[in-house]
Amino acid sequence: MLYLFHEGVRSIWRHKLTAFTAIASVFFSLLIIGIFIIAQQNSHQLIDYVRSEYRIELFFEEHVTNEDAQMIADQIKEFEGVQSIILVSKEEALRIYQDQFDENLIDILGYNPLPSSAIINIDKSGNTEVDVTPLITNLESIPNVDEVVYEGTLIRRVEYFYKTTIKIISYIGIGLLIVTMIVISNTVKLSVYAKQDLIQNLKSIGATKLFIKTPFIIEGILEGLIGAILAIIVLLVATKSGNIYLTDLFSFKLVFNISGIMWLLIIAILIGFIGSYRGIRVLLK
Amino acid sequence: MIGFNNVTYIYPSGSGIFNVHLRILPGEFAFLIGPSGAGKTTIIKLVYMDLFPDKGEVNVNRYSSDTIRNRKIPHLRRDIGMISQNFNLLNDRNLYENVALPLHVIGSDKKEIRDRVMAMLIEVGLEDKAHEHPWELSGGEQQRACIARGLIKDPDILLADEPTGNLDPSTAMQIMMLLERINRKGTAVLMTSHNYRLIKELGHRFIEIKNGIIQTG
Repeated sequence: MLYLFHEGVRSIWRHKLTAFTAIASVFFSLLIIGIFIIAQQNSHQLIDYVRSEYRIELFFEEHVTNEDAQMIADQIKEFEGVQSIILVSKEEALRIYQDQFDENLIDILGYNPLPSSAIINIDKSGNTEVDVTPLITNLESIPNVDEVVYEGTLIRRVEYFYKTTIKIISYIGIGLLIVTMIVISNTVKLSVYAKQDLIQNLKSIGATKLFIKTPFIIEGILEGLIGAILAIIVLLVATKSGNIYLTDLFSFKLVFNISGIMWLLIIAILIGFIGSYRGIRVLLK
Repeated sequence: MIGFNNVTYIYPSGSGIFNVHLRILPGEFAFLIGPSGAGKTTIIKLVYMDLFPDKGEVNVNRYSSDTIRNRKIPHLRRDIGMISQNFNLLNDRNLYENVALPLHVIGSDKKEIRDRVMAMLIEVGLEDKAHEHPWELSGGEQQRACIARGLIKDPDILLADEPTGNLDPSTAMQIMMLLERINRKGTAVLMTSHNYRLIKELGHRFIEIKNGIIQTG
């Protein structure tokens, strides 16, 4: 195995130009995919912030007592998509009104006209789109609920934009992966053509197909890994320098975490393996 | 050891070998002679199962062309040493690495490889050239290196396809002496040649082939 690994490394060294082409194409593809990963990881932070602003306000009918409101609130807590619920009693509503407008409604009207209400925080974890429509339908169907207020258009727009962006990023990423795999495959094919004499020699002295294929596959994986490591270094430097400027301007900090790095390495190994396997398989038939 | 039972192999051009019966016994030295295009190399390729007969059966050691599976062909070839007139040495590695290649294929360890390669280079008289590349060697030296590589795994059979074809008469005779010595140690040698004058005095069996048909032997 050590010999085969050594052969793979030697092959990169011997065919520097073709290896350089493969490494460069992996580097550029993974750089773009890495930018997408960073965008995804950071847009996640951003979307989480936007989603944290999603609120549904529910107003009870005027005659509903605080006890009845509490019972309904307990019932709502069990609904799918509800993370938490904060009950605002008639008295609390009055106090909030007084704090905000500096007017005592009881002095003006002689009674408290404000209904009890509830603020519902929705569950918005994960990468999937948040769809509040079923929850709104459920809330509206509860007896004694007068009105349900929510920023439906904003939520729908934000979620649509997020969903579309993730889709486009995924399609471009997959396209880039396929192109890189084809480049590696063709590089290995060139390398195989250049080593026809070695392959014939190996066949005639009793080498198995696995023995012949392994150095080419190691070569492909190494080219993938070298390209990935270079892309990771550039991305780390870019996010670190980007953060120096960003932290001066915003409280937002770019993140390129270990999971992103691991993904790039895994992608590099996979495209190196699949690309080289395709290249050698076709020529060894 | 090697048996051809009524073997026919025809190339798309119509040439080939026809109804060949052949037996090579363990430890035997046999010459396959005939003009160019007579079918000598076809017989060699059928022995190491690079080609398979259209008709008949080839038996080599315990393997039969009728029943051998693709994954067993490398195992068959590990018992066969191959040398040819083109030497087929790899120019991007030195003599030591060329000779060591078959041992890497069978998974020998580093020490064993070093000991056996050096012993083999001494055997063929190339111990001083271990770190030279094939292009730095003369034709005779390249052929001796090729023989060293063919014999390094201690094969039962050595197939020599026109091994003296590209050599001057004196070097060719040195190579013949080396093959004789190898055969005396027990390796069966099947050698093709069209140079009858070189081999006629050696006292081994001749198998003559013409237009793909065995004439004598």
